[in-house]
Amino acid sequence: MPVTERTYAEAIRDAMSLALEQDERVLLLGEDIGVYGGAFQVTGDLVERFGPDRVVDTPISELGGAGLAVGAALNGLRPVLEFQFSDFATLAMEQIVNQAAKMRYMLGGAVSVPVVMRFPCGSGTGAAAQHSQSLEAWLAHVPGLKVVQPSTPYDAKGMLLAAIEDPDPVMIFEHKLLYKMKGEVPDERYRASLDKAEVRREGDALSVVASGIMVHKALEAAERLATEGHALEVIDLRSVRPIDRDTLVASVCKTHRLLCVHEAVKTLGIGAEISAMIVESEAFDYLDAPIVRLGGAEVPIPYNPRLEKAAVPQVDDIVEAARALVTGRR
Amino acid sequence: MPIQVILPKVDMDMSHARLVEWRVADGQPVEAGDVLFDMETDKSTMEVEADASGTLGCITGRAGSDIAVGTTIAWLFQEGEDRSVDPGQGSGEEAGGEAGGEASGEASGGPGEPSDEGSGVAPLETPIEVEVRSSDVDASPLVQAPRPAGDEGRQGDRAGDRPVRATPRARWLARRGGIDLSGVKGAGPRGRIAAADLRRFEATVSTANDGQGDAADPSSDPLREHDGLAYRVSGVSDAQPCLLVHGFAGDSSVWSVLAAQLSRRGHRVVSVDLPGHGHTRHPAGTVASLGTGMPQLVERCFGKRPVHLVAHSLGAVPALQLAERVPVSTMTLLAPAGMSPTIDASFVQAMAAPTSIGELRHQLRKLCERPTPLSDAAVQVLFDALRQGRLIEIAGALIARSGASVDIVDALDALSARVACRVIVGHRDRIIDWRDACRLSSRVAVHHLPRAGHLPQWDAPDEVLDIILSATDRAAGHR
Amino acid sequence: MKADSDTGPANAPFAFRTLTSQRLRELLHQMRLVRRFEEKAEESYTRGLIHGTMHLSIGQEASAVGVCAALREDDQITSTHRGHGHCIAKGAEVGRMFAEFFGKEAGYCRGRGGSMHIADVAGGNLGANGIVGGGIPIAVGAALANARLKTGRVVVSFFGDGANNEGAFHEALNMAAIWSLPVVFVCENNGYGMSTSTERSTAVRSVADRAGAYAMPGCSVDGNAVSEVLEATHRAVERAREGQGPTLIECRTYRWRGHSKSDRNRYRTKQEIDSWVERDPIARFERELIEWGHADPNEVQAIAERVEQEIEAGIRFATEAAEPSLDELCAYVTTEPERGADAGH
Repeated sequence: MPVTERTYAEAIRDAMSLALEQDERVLLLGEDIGVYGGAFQVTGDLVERFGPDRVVDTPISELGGAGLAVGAALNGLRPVLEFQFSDFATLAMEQIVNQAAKMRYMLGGAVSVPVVMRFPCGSGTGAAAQHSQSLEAWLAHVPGLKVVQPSTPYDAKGMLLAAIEDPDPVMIFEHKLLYKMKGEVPDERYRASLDKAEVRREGDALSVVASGIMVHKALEAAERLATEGHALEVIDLRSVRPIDRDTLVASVCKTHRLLCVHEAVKTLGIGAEISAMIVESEAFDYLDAPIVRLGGAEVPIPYNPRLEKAAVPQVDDIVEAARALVTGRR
Repeated sequence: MPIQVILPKVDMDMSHARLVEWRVADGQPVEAGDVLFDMETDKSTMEVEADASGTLGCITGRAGSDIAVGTTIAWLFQEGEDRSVDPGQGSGEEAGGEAGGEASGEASGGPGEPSDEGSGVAPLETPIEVEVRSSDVDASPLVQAPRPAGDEGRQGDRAGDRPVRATPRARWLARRGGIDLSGVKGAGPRGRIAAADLRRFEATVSTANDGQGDAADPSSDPLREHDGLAYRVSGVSDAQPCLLVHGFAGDSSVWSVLAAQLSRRGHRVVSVDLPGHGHTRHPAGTVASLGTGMPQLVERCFGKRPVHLVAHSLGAVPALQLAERVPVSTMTLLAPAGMSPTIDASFVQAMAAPTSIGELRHQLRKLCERPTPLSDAAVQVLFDALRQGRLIEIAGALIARSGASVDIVDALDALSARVACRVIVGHRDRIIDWRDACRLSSRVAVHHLPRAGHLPQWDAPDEVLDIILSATDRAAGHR
Repeated sequence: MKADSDTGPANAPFAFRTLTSQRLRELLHQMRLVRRFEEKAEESYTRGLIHGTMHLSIGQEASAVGVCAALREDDQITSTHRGHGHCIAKGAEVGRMFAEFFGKEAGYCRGRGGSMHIADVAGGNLGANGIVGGGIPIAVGAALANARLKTGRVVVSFFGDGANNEGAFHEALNMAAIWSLPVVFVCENNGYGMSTSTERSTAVRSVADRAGAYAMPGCSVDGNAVSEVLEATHRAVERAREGQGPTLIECRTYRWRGHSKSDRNRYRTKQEIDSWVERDPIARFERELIEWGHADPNEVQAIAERVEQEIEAGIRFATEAAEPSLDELCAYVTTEPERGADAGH
């Protein structure tokens, strides 16, 4: 199976291209995704290949656009709606939470809503408070939605293809700093699972469960701890709703320690859910240290670059927390 | 046909409303759309209109009362219909039209009769059944065991009055290995014990520490020997002397938790392995010879100081013998054998000569109410030890039908004349019958633990500790 | 008296001129069915048999029935929280609607949606909606799919005067216009968004005035006149089906009951309500049917009786129907593979 090195953004474009080619029901919607190529150049030249009827520029109407996607999905299309920034999900919350997530249930199973919505998210570009958020936990709190965070180009392509084929609403959160990340991506059309976590690095001293860009920071931290004689196990959470409980429990039973890392604000975040899930599971008896979470600080993302970095976990933070746990100091 | 007037539901979460007042009187004609009555809900007061026309009658909804949604509160009668007959009543009550007449009498909202006929007297509480003992029983003073403070605490978890800090994994490992966490030093924050600390602890315990002075270290508990009798010591050397004597087929380790707790509370604790048991190499001979070597041991450990004796099950026998030979402060017997000839023969036989690990486990389960603390490895070790057959002779003596094999009643009675004696029994004891405690003399205090089995120190460690401490503290106070 | 298949004289209003007598009597049957359904649902509610609340459309029957009369069976609608009338006008069975209100498994939404989310997807009703304005962008999306897949279907988006101030209304009308989508926007202006009158809440005099802002035709009709409603809708539907884009129709009507069952009607006077009740659209339609020779009083009466029977049967069906099973509390949230059959595609 031929494999090409692609960036994360190119991998997504590749998925869209394959889907548009092979399924006439697929429709891309979003602001500036046509001739402009998308705010993060994800759609690129797709409009030239597939035309403005398949790669549709919407007006700046997030709420209307989300409702449009829902209605189109009800009637048999497979819309993929791009939000320019995940922060703008707030404008569309009504259609996402009250309509897309709930229509199937409220109508007793008479319909399903196969929409995909993509959200570029995260901080580090100086876009400041209203263009840098990580809101995946908000949507993950809603029954009826599936929420995923691919962290590699391979997953970016595979999860999007799986999401397009999924009969239910799938929300994909893509960290903006990952768009330029390179990785090996198969050329063919394939699906990556939407509900499984993956162990990216095996170890026995500590389980580090990370999502999105934090997976890569955790892997870096693991390298450093390895030189100190401690083998960290790094798990890429991949899906936030549902969380792959079995993989996480098995890991903690093995390593006896857990560190959760995400960029989203720590308080009331996904790390809290994972911690509670572990404590409620059989892994509780195997815990040999407190569960620790690293997450965003209690502050809107600052503009100043040093402050911006300090507002979210960095590799050093992960190293420090992990070291304290594995040496029994925490 | 008369038309019902109901109290309507108007709000989503509404179950009742107050009928404030009728705006139309009984007997008055009403047009559809006229306001009939005012109704007050949680949200506001509103007017309720008539759905149809007619003459209002049979008003059963009383002004000022709370009425359930959907209840019929009046009727609208059409021309020619009899208003004195309540259309809502069953046929039996229509006779005489009394119901209709009374109902309309209440329509004006005057003070009505209370609707529920209460007697005003609270119902008698169900008397609590008290189990009555047999009639020839002496009225021994019953001392209720102190109530547990919250959860009973698992073995190894409680040390004195503060719980031990330990990770879930450390607790699980400790439970499985029968390790008392209060004896383990934790290297974590605030002294938290983690698995690594347990590993370190186990490593130190496995090396025997014979001959090492431990007067200054209250938590150490190494195995020692004197004249063939194996024993353990803990506690500060000049603290109150305390000797713990185990029972049939046990050994000094049955006291590990209690010993640790007592040694923390101002006692110098010695727990001995009886002949034929544990690490003591002397064979067990007869029941009477179980106490061999004990007076010498006591003198070695405590000099002439009076000793608090605590004995379990068959250990009561050598303990009582010992009490004749050395100064004794207090005597506390846990589930003592010998209060009557009754003893579980199958238990004794199986412990003396177990045929299989399964049988041994089965008998061990009889001992305690709470699940047995022994790990698989420990059970194997015990099985191997018991298979040596050192207890067969004693077992035979215990279950002999001829004559009284063991009887402590008189000895205990005699002792209680000069020493404070107490007995602790568990009502779920399957080896001895706790009711035999009623045969003891009135000078012996009997403590009842309703949920404990034959090993009260395992099933109810906090209560047992409290009882012993109350005895030793009191004795200390008298000095 | 006309034969059932006859249409009316050349000088008659649109409906009485272009529809057959039989079809017109069916429309009367539908209006009566809506009226009696609403009254019966109301009665069950006041007796405490129905959970939650409900939003009744008594007095607005001509609007629901007139609009749906212009649609084909496979055309679609999205509806509002006041959607019982739309549902019946689009062909739903009253028994299954009652069952839904009683929370039964046999209801249109398996008892899980209730009054505010009543739907009949197979009949083209994509659902009532508990969010004001919630259905408008969805209708536009549905129309987009119809255009893309060339189904020839038109979507009608019902909404009230309150919705015309929601952001979703403006975004949806704009998108429908720029892409010339086959959707018809029908605003049932009953004068009040809950308790706030249109005079106090809406900057334009008539909701139809907003059509110009989105470059589409708009018209305002007497929502209590079946023929006017039908004529305006018919034109708009033809326009949409021919690919010429959306239209905004305002049906001026009135709701006799309060916004919901908790409404104390403090914001309007009894005289106002009475003045509209006197102009009952059903009574008016009956008069017109007789006047234009499409029915006689006996037939009108017979329709009323048949409606009673249909309602009684519906209530019986709903009362006897079974409750959903607690074991299925979390079913129908996502699409399980085994249940793919009822995904609706």
